[in-house]
Amino acid sequence: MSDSARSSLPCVVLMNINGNGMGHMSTCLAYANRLRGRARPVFFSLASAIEIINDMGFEADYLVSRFWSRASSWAWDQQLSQRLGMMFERVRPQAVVFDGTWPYRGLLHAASAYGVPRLVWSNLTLYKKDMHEVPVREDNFDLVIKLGELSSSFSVERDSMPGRSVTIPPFTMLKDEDLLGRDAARDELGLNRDGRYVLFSLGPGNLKDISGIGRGLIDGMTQSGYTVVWARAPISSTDVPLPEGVIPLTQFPLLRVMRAFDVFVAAAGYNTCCEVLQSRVPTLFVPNTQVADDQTARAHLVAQAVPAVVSPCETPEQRANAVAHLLAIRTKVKTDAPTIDLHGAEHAADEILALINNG
Amino acid sequence: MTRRAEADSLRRRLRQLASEFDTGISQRYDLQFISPEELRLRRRLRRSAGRLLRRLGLMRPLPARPSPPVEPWLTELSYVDYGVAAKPLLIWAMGIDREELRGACDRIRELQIGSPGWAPVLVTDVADFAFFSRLNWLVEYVPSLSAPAEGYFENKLRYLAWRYREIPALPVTADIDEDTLLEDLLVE
Repeated sequence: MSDSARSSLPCVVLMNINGNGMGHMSTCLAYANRLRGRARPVFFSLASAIEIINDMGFEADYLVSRFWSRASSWAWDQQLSQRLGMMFERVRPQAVVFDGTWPYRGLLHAASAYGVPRLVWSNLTLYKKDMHEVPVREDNFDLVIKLGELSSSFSVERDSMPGRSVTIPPFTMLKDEDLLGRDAARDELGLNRDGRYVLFSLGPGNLKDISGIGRGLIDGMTQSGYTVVWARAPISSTDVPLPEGVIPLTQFPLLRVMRAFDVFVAAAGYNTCCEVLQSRVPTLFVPNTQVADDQTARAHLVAQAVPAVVSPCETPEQRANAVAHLLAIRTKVKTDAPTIDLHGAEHAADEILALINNG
Repeated sequence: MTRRAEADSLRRRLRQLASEFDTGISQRYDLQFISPEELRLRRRLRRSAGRLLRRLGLMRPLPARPSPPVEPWLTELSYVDYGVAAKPLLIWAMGIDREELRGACDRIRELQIGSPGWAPVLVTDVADFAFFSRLNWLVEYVPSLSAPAEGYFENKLRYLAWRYREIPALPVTADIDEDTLLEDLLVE
């Protein structure tokens, strides 16, 4: 597409928070991928993996997240408001999409001060029961997109604006045809086609210290005859030291090469769970309990559809049982598994474009 | 270019950029200013009622409220142990390539060992966050955006020069040898 054609498309600013890892950025990339050619997505990212956004063909700016800055909440929101305002005045968005748990005051203020035509809130639905209600009204937004879990299909909860509310089914960043098959993925990664490999993706190491659990599970899988490949997130400030024989892998998105692996060991963030549903790699979920969303509940939902084990893996006994269970079920096919709709991002993109065209 | 010349050049450049920044932007998006549209209907009605009652003398005038103190923007990161109260330091790294930037950042990191107590902020137009994430520095990124937002680059550059106008700066191309102290390289 020529530059002039691209610049004539409606601009959509996608703002992702920086949560535990890159899940929110992945959600916005999934939306942007489906908006490609129909809108001009520009990212305002609080996740620092800007080169990843650029590599996927999108422009982006960055602000350090509130979690990473020592500035007060007010001072940080002040910065957010001013910097978003500067962006809005230049890119002139037709819509701004915020993906995150709690829409920031700085965002709402900048959107109001500039006069953003359409404001969208994208958010998870499966939070822990003890999580405090977010004190932001949905009718501050023209559209609320709720990310449904495994059994969700597209539905409209409230049709009227402001505050049109829809639930979308799960989704991933990539379409099915973008995933490499087992042999092609192994060739790309330089892995032996006949070997037995397990992929570990327990998180970026910034929030939850995973070294103890990770080390125990590495030993368990290694003793079971598997070669361990450890995914390192691009935005980790420190690396978990890896034992000898463990292969480090820095790749994003992992989904593209996931079918290279016989089994997968992972936390149960929304995007990771969706990727397991799409790739169908047997998985041991080690839910992260330090985040706002209910990863344990989500992991159990996924285990209804694909071979999966859910365990906190906090003790040697739990780890041993989890590894044994995973290896026992890995070749089993769930004949009663529900049909999974993974077109949530398509629905989200259609809703955003409908809002721009009709709102 | 000698170290002195580099420092002079950076000082002039930063002052020029800061002077060109349109401070109206910071005012337009200042959180202190709450537009009437942001207030809920109920609160707007209460405010209007209060104003009317005070005008009629049926309610005491509002006491003068001091402006809330301006809370500073800090260059310190929450996950870094600075040991002591760290001072902000601007590392201006515009217009150099990735490998040169990595080398310069590594040299500055080594200097920090001998000169603790700084909380650097790196201003760069290079997206190399996988490398930056291990520096433990605040990063300010200046992207080039395509039309119609071509002016964003210069605008953000001016904003950052204005935002950090009162802190010492370090030109990243500074010639650094083993015996150099960080403090000797700074531009005030």
